[in-house]
Amino acid sequence: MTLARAVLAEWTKMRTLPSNVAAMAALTVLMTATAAVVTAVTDSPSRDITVLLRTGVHATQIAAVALAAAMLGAEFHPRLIRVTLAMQPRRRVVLAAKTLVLSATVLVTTLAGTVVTVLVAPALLGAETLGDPAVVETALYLALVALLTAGVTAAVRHAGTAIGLAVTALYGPYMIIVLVPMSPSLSDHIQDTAPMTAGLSALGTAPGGWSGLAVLAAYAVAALIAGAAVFKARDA
Amino acid sequence: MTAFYRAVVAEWTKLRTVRSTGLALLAMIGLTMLLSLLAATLSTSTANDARLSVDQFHFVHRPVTGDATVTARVSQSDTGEWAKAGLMVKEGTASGSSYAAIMLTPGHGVRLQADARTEVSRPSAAGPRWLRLRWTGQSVTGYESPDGVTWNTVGTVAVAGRLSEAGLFVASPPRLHLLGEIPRYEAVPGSATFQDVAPDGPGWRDTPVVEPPSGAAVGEGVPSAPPLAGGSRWSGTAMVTVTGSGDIGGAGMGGINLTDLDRVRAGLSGVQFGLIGAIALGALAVTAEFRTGTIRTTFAARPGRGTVLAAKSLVVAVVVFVSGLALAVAAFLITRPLQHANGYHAPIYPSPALTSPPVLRAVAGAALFLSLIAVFSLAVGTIVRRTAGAVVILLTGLVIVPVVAAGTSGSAAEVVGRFTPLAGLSILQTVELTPLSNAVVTGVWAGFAVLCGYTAAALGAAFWILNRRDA
Amino acid sequence: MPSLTIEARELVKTYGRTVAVDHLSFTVRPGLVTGFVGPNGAGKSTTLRMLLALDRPDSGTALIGGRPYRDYREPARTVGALLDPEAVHPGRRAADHLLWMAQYNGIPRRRVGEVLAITGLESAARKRAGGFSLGMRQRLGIAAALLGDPAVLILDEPVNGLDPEGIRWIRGLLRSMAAEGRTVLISSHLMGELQDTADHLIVLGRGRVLADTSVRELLDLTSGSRIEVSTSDRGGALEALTGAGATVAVTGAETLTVDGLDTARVAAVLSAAGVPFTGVGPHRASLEDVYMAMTREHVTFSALT
Repeated sequence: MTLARAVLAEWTKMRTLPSNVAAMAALTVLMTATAAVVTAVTDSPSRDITVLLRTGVHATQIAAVALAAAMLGAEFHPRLIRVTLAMQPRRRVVLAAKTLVLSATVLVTTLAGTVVTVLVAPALLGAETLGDPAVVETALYLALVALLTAGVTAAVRHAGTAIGLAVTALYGPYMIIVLVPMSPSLSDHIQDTAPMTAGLSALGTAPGGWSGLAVLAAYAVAALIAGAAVFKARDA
Repeated sequence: MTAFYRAVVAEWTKLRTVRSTGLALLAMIGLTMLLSLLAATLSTSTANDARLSVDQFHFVHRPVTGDATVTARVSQSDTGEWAKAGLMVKEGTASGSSYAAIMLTPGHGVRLQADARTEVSRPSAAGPRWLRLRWTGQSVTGYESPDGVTWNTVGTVAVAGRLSEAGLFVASPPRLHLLGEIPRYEAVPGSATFQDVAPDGPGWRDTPVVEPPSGAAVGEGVPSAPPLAGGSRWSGTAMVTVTGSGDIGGAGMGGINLTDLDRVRAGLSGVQFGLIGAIALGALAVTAEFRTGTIRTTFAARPGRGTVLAAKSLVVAVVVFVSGLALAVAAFLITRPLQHANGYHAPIYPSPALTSPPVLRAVAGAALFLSLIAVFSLAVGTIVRRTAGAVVILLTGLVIVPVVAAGTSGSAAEVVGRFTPLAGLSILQTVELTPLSNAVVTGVWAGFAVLCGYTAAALGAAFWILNRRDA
Repeated sequence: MPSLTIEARELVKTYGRTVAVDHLSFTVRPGLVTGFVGPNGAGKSTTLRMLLALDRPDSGTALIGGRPYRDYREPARTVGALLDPEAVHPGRRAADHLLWMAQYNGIPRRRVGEVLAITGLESAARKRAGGFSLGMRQRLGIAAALLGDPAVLILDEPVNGLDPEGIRWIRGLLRSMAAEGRTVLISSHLMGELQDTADHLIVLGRGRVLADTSVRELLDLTSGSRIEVSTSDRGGALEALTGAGATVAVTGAETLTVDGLDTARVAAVLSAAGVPFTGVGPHRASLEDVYMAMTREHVTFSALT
């Protein structure tokens, strides 16, 4: 009951800010928009739907990071946290409600966006698509990215810093793989253990992709635990 | 002037008294060093131990026995200054076998090569030339002539193998797409028309000479790309148009450079990661003021908003430049011995001193690059005003899009490398890579000018908006 | 309306080396408006945050209605608090800001409209808080505190930013809330703000209680039995009264305070000596005087007060 009320209240908080609504809209349309742009500007775009979705994921996850950082960051500036905790002094309940609302929002919006992209892909490409789109995995991936960012934001209590850290954590290892010449075994190792690259591997057609999502989930859980520890310990 | 000086002093005090400045600089230094050190420790070279060569082209040939001569008038289409078309005599048709060849290049005269080891060149005017190859045993002499009447000797070279196939060839080096440290190659189709081919008559055969795929990762060794399908079209018995792609020669000859030759650039490559810190510093220097409302106090204390922005930009630029310079010098000095231990040493890889002009330019350029990125971020922060918004925009444009493009397609990476603020990374070059890629890679200063342009445009927009808006 | 007390027992809170709250104990009773007063940095806001479980005390306990704040399932139905009028997201509409708070405590949606009406914000209900003046944000914060119709009200500097009309309104509101038997605790760093509002005062200095008393007692304590005399002949009055055995202090160009004689006697002495006077009556110290005297040596940031 307490948690249900907290979830309702946090959902009200989420939907009553125009910037959050814009981020939700971005989560819904960016996947399709990116696919449309990519197919329009590329001479011979890949007909593999998984490739198309993966490009869309890069665009969409910025919105997921921004939404998560904005949601948690607003508690610290302006100091809404004082009002929130006066309304519900049990901090675990507050954090749980936020986590639930955030993941549900990201899941629903990106699931819709991904389904639409899959449906319109043949029209965009003017041809049959290849590959087996990982729709559920894509939405799960983006929700986990949002949770990772939420944990980081709760820990550092500043939206801008949290976005910087989240983007570094996601793209830093990828950048190293792309920019540093290294042995294939090492780059595979980094790819399998870094949050973004491991998570993205679940969006391909290769079997066993769920283990990649599990790696990302482990990072998200670790970030949430760290965030919860700070959230519980620090004075509001 | 005193007003500006006071604004600078005040902005310096503001910048140095907030904790985020130190943290951002720390991030800049840490991330740069991380990537540079990883690049220095993880990449190795065996170029000093094994001679690296390329042998990939389209060959129109016929068997020969004993001593002989091949002659043709060659007119070549210009698909790059190092495109090659000419006559060749070879041990066989397998890539890597012994050969001697005389060729035209659009930009580097007539050249005579043997076994990817020896090269003799002779300047010549552009346009069609007559070429002749004559051999006796394993000694091959090359000639060229403007008219087929008066012949000039280009030189005489020795080959190791027994020559059994002779004919015409066309090669056109792959084009390099460069972003930071990741070169990618794309084959370029070349073509040439051979007239008055002697010997003429039937017996000519076509062979695409193709290198076996190498195990080396892209970015190591000499450039190569999977070839495009070449071919020949005869008009009569003595005239043929040949198309083909590829290159012949060895590292250091025929315009072939090692892609990882520029070790200074490799040592400084970390700035591409460290720019995250510069972004944070520049953006926070102004968005934090909007957030806390300090900006009203600032404008109240110093109503000339343009002066405030100019002072802020100057302070941020100097702070990032000074720390960036120390960082770049340290990165250069630390990565050099690590690279040396991994095989990057003379004779293939020269190690220039810190004081040599190209190195100084690259080291100072790395600091300037970070400094301009910080000022660009400051300008974007002024326009956007919100920390989160500015950080999202900057990280998307300067980190995510480039790295995704680099990991996705060569043409996307090329656009990023030429037309986004990251084109400024070109100032890190100490080795001219233009022979490989004249049409693609931005020149040292051209790329840097792109970054300067972006920064100036963003600052201009920030000035304009600042004067038009309530604080 | 249940009668609930606010109780602080030996609260201690330090930030690094600074002791913000130093073994603080007090009780706030229902049915009264209690003023929580002290100079900036005396520890008022820290104490209020500890009462609401926002800050964790180093030691000691803070109880409302005998229970720690943390134990309330629906705290807003028992305790209404205004700590920081700036704790509103600028992009959210006033009504939505109150709605999510109500939802946290299962308070029906219509109550949002009611508290907006009570605080005079009906017309601003659909406006985004970013455009609010400090006074409007203050009213929004008070509206939030009233959401759960609470038995206990804790307001930090509620008068800040309000215009004179708003100040009169909040005084009336607080007095009527106390009259209904609620417990009302308001803080201020200006004693003058509390003079006409509070029944009881807890004076804080450097994290300690300097006084915990009713307003009347506090005034009497400092005023004592002194008599104030207004006269145009200060010298003559001084001479006549000291001659009659009184202790006299000069407090202004035309005023003296007299100790040791009652009002009638002072008037008689002055008349007998032919000294003109325009007034003789009991001396009333203002709360501000008392407060200044009391906190003088306890001011942490004296330049700020």
